Amino acid sequence: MEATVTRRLSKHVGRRWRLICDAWNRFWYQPDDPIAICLLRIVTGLVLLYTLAVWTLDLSAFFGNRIGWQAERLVSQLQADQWAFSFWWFVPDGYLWLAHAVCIAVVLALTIGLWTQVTKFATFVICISYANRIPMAHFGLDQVTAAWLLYLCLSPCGARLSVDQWLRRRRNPSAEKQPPPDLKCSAARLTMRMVQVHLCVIYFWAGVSKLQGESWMSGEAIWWIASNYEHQHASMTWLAYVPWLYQILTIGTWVWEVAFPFLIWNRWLRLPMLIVGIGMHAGIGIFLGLWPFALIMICGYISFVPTAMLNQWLETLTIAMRRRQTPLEAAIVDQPPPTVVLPVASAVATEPEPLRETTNFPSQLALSTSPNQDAIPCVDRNDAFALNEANHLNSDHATHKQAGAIAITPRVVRRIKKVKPMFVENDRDNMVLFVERSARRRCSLIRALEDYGYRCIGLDAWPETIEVYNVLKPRCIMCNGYRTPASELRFWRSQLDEREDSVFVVLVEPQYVSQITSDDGRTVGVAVPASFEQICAALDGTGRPSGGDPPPRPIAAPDDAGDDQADQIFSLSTRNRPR
Amino acid sequence: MVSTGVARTRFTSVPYRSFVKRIGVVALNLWIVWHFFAICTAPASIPPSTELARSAWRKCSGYLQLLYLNHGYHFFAPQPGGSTLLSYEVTRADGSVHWDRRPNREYWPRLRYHRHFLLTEHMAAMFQARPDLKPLIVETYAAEVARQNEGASVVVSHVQHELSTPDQYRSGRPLDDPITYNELWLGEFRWKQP
Repeated sequence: MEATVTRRLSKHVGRRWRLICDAWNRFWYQPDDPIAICLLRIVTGLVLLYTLAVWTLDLSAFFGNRIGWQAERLVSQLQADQWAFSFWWFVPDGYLWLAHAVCIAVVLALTIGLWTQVTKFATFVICISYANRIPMAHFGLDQVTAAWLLYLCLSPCGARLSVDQWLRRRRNPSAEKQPPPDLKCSAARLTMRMVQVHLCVIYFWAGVSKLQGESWMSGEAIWWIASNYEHQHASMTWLAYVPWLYQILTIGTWVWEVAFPFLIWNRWLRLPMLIVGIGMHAGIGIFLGLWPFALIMICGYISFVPTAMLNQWLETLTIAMRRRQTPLEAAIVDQPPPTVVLPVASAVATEPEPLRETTNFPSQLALSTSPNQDAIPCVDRNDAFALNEANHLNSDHATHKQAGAIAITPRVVRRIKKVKPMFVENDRDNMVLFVERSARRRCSLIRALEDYGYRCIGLDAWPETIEVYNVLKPRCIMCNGYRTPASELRFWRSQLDEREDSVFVVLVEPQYVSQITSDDGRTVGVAVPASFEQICAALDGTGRPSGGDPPPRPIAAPDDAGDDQADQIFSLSTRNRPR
Repeated sequence: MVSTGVARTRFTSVPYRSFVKRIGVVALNLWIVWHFFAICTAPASIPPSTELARSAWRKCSGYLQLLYLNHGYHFFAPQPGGSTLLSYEVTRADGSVHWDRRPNREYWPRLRYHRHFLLTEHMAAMFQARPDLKPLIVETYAAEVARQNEGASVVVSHVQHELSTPDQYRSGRPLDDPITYNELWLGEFRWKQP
């Protein structure tokens, strides 16, 4: 009886032990795709590159051996009896810049995935050498970067998304025709697990250490961080007026940190935990300015994303990038067919203009004007439609009636789904950028100006306006300057002054019209509420190009009484709005 | 040995591994356990801590220092406190005087500012942890300040910036109110050409 029980017990224990071993092996060594660690390599490399680039600004001040913030005499005392290795101790002061440049080159090589079998070890040594050389200026960024690099040393981090992979394919062209090899390996899984568990250790101890602080328990710690003038990058002092918020944030921070190692393994709670983590680190980045640290922590989250999902995202990104290729790049195939001569209707094509040269496909524009489109080799109907659309935009040229001939090289082309509309010079002269926060006002005035003959683009913020202006360089810019300081308007005006004939129309309070209006007449103040007549007069009055008769001007309403659309900025009523 | 492996693969799903590989896998498993145990001892040994945690850390400290893993991960813990700055007045050979305070908020990019800020923060921490190194730290910083500003002599001070409570802030006291800065003289140094 006793022997039977012992035998059964030992059998049960043995079975349990094998199950545990199997679970352990699956957890650490089940082969996995190396995509996550390759992404980790790229992000970690970029962060380290940035760190080294910033060191460039203070290299001799921090790394000088004889005199510096971290002079040899001081650091040797601090690190006495420690196993803190740094190659910087072997670099004389005269060779600091050379060593630094070599380090940047090595880290760059790892980031792009060049000779990763060597550079991953070299980069790890570089990272810890920099950190150990300046023991009084390192912090979490260096610690986490070094940990990720240590784990990358265990893995084939150059298997994908790397120059190494590209070189391998190039050396063996036949491999491209074969199905992609199965890159799954245990080392990839091991590295991901090491990163995951290390993240858990970091958060757990960060949370536990906060439990020892009185302010973390009382809910005031976030306020103390927010009110630290030297720490703050963006002001968080508004928290003083919402004490419940900083108390929730304080308690929530350490609760989340302590719970992270336990809840992250639950598949349903993983995503919420990671989202909270990203929010917390984004807050650190925004309010404390520690973006590199936030980024290196968030990049550790890659290890929690399923590799199938990463592959899917990568594939989507690749497809999107292919779609964004220029039409010429998408169209050309290496084998050019023989040249043929086709008659074309436009003489513009015989003399490519600067605008056409920038588009890179003058021959395609010429093709679309051919009287016999069926004769065009290898251009399908969609392409012809798109090309016609592109040519239509050039129809403002006075010479488009002339006939001519052009030698073209028809090529095998893929389907071009869309040709971006391009603006010709007349469009730029007729164009108005209108900056207005109210969508209703923006839309109503855009419609009115479009009907009047202007090309109008409405924007709701100045930074975007500057970007659009820098691309399009329109002649007219109009904005609602109601209750906007004159100094701010002058600043934006100075940003939008690249064209000599540019016009800046500002809708302002009546008392500021004379202050805004400039002597040269290029900045015009229009008193609010402004009628459509006044706006058009301001836009026209400074030399609108004579590109034909404008459409009939809408009749201005005699007054705005009972006008459902009128407001204090400008009056566009149902009666005077152009139809 | 080979026959044993073949026989095993016949009856179980465990793939055959050579003896060396099996030893390697066992060693790898032991290393994983040791690695994370060692990493945990570093934050666990930070005072207040048990003697057990401190002795465990002493066993692992060499490994942790070698791989640069000897970190506490105590971010803003246990108590986020006020910051420390370094104030200095440099007198140049021509008699001109230059006063400044480190870290200077105009440093760009932010990471550069943060590195300089860490210098002064660690300086304050080291004054507490290693009082014997205080003269050396002050002298080293003074020498670098003198070198950067081409000064003949330099007076350095340790500035403690106290934090404001929410009530103080709401009552109108700005965070950088001069009253919140407490300056402590550290020493005067004369530049001597080596």
